[in-house]
Amino acid sequence: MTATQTIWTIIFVIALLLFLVVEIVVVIGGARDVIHLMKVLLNNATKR
Amino acid sequence: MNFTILDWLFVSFFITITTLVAFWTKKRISDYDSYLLAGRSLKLYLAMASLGVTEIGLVTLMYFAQQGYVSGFSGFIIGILGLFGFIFVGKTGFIIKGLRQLRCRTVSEFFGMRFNLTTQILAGIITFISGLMNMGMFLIMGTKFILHVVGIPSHLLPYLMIGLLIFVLIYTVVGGMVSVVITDYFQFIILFTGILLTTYFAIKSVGYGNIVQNVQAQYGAGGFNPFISKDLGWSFIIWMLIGSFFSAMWPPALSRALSTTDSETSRKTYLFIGFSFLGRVLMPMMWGICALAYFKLNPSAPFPMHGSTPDTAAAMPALLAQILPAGVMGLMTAAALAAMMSTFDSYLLCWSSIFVNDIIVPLRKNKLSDQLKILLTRLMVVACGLFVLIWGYLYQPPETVFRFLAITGTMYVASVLLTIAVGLYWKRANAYGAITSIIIGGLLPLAAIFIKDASTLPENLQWLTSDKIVGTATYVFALLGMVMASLVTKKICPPIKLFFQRE
Repeated sequence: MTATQTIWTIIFVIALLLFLVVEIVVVIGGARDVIHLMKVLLNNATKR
Repeated sequence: MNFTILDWLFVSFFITITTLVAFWTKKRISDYDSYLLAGRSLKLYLAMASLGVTEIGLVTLMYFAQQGYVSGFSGFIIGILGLFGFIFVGKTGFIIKGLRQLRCRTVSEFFGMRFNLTTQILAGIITFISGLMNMGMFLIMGTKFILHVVGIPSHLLPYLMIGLLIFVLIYTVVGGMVSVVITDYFQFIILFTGILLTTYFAIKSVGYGNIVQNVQAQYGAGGFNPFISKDLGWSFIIWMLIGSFFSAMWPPALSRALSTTDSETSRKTYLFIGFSFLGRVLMPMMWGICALAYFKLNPSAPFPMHGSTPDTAAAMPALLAQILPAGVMGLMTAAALAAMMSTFDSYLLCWSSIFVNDIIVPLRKNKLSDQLKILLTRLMVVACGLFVLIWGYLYQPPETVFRFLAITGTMYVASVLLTIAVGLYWKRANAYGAITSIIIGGLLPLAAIFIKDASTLPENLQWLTSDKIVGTATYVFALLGMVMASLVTKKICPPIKLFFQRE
């Protein structure tokens, strides 16, 4: 492969790894946030 | 038909879950603020999930795949510039921090605070029109994906479009932002997993060495060097570079930023999710590049046609129909539906709320009740959906779909966002300057959108049909118009001072 082709390949692999890391982080953290939002909604519904 | 029972099970399960969530949240919507902004209860990771899926629509996968098919590895420059934009916004809080601290519901509200009511309404109109035209490609592209992957006969395209539209409209109208946010989380899981798996199978089906060799054979050095690419080139890169500062602030994405608990969360959301956006661009582009190689290496494989011409926009779904194993195809279709719904519903809601909040409400003397605002927003959602159905079916973009979305995006960015940026950071900006930049930024790109034959114009105006040149020129002229009009009219229209609230 040429230098340009190699650079794009490296960038692609980095992009893929970043994508994977973000997915793992967001899935775990997002579960807690969904529970928090549900509690807020239920509290509002109870007050009404 | 390419689908197996396992594939149908995946898709059915997904549709059932999202429908149930939408109806469950309907009971818990208390007021208009909750309806549109999830009650400002959005924390960091949910905001990231929501922003992530909103900005990775099925149309996103389709147009980046087409761009990859057409320009090869050179198209990756778009991802690099997008990442740069997200990091810039994430690090500086450019525009979003200011809007949060002003407690703006939409970007057009800023115009009412900083300039005047006329400017707010004008910005709302340009935002609405550009957004609607932009969104006009969503349904047709999403439908083409489903059509080719599932293996539905092409003459059923209009009926499939109607069916998908009805499905999206139902839970958008019923739930509003709250159901959108919660379903976004589940759609995020399906979508990101589906994208990773599809990338694996796409590369495996052709072989990475063959992919690189094929791009070299078909596009030469231009397939790897964006500056000499026939499809891209210097003018395209400059256009994209300017837009990259604002690329993270399309209104639906901004609505997420304005929904978080504080501006620091908004800033972090952009920074972190930006890292996944490189993959958002590069992975579907790789699918398109794989499609280019696959159909070259397998000439007997059926290539999708639009009438008598090759339909490059449908090359990627045609590839997936050939290579994805049973089960994965269903997962990817569920992911595609997730992508389509998570983007489509957010965009429908966003443009509809802009129409109500920034055009109707300012024009009325009497205040609208929350219930009436919700009703009007829901009616506009349906009206926008009908427009998208008709526009998407009838309009043919002159270049790739990505470039059409980029030029309609420029209408909004160069008029509204550029004006906001100047209004936030330059004290001398006034209402006349804002109106000038909004009009220039909103109207100039229309030439590139609607004039397809350059020979109909005088030679010195033929540049107006080139989206690459018009895109950059729009930013330049809008900025010049803002500055010059503000300075010339500073005595008759003194600038209004802003007061930012601490969080």
